[in-house]
Amino acid sequence: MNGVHDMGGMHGMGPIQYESNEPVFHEAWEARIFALYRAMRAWPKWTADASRHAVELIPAPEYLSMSYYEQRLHALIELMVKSGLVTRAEAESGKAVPGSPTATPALIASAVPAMVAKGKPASREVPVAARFTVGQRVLARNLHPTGHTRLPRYARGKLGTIHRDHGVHVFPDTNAHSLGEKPQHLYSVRFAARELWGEQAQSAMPCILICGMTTLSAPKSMLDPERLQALPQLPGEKGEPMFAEPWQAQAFALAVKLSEQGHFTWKEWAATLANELKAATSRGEPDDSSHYYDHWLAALEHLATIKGLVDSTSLAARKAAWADAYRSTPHGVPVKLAPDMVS
Amino acid sequence: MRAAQHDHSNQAVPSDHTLRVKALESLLVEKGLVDPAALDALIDTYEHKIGPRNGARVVARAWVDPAYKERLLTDATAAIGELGYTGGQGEHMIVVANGPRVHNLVVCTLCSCYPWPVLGLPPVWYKSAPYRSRAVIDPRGVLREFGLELPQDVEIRVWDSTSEVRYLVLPERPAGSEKLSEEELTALVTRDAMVGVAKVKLQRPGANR
Repeated sequence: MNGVHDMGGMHGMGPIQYESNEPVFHEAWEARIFALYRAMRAWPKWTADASRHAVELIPAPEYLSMSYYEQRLHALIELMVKSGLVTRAEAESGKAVPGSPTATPALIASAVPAMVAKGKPASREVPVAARFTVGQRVLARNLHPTGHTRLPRYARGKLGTIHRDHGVHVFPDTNAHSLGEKPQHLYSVRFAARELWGEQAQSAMPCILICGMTTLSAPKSMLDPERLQALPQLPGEKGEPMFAEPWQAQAFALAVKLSEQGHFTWKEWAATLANELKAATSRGEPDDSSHYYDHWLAALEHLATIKGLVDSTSLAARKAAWADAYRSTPHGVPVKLAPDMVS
Repeated sequence: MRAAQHDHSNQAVPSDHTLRVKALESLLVEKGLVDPAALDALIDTYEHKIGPRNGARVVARAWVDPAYKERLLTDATAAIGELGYTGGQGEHMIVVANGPRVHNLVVCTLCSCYPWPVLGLPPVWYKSAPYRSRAVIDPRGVLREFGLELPQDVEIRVWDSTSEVRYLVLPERPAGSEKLSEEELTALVTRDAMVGVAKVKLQRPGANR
């Protein structure tokens, strides 16, 4: 659900309130509700995923005004009432309905150390094929389910890279709603800050890693027909070769890669290229494909400068350095930039 | 207020939350759903037995024992288990190492996921909106609020704990600590450094930072 609990990327939540030498619990009731929450899980009438969802279901204004343990108190009552362990009237009065059956506690003191040490692994030993491999580009699906999901809003619709395969785990999105564990591969996905937050992303390439499962899909190739058709007057359509010279292919690939990495959208690229072509036509240049990649390159230099990826001074210096390198390199030897040009 | 007007021969009425939780606990005990002694045992465990000292021992061991460090970075759950730290909210551990060019920061934007067996229960700031909202979009700003200014060429990796995988940051060993024993190193390692909001310093830190 698109709840207020899904806070990643929100502004306006105020400064971080740091407390030195913070106690584990500030008040005795917090410790009791913490323990009640743990002990009641032992029944087991609900999963960890369901208990997280119970917290998410707290109406947003209350969620934001409650402390962590107030949220747990609220969620615990809802979970117990929903599962039939207590009635709403019992929860409100604090008194058991006369004549209601009594149970034997699911967790007794002597069993606590073993329960704490064992935990409840979410991994499952079932053979499920992995859909992705490490290093593969993936798209976090643009899903907005009204129930529980562990795919945060800030990652939806964004391109990332599979960073790690954690093996087969329970799928929280179904498990929270008693719709089964649906075990599947769990992946860490690495997202570039610029992909998530656009132009104003901080410069030193921070990245975000989240885990996703069914919430991931293989992205459409950047070179699919739909994207190519978005480009004006692309050569190679009438049987002629797509690239007449190697630099054209390199310029083509650079634009595709920079767009894939989120430096600009494909729409921005198509618009910039269209502007270059239009300017060339208005200058009276022939309206055929013979100079198409001249304009492609001009558009690429222009957009890369606008986006702050390069500046025109350093680009010109690089061009001169390459020219020098060609002039000073004998035939048959690979041309390399002088070391002082390569930082 | 009732508490202020209480009859001096009787006790003051505690806060509303205390009353509500007492009502709930007594109801569940009456119905046989919980054992109050189990609640005491759970509270004692997380107040006194499981906390950031566990994680500090893992970090100090990794600093003095390269083979352990390698196991820790390869299979953190097993390597942490070697020191006896296992269980709830640490079933699937990943350790991420800080270095001169990389700084790791752990958050749970959706709730409060935290590696209990090595760090204990999370502090209030970790569970609160300001940290959860901004750690992913403005990690440098967040670190600055903790008094940590990183050079621009340091890559920040933010780990959002959206699955059952839990993260522990392996901080850089401070310069000048070469002669310290494993035990002395353990005393330097703070909770904040293992979440990634601080570096480990040579001076002895406050009790639970």
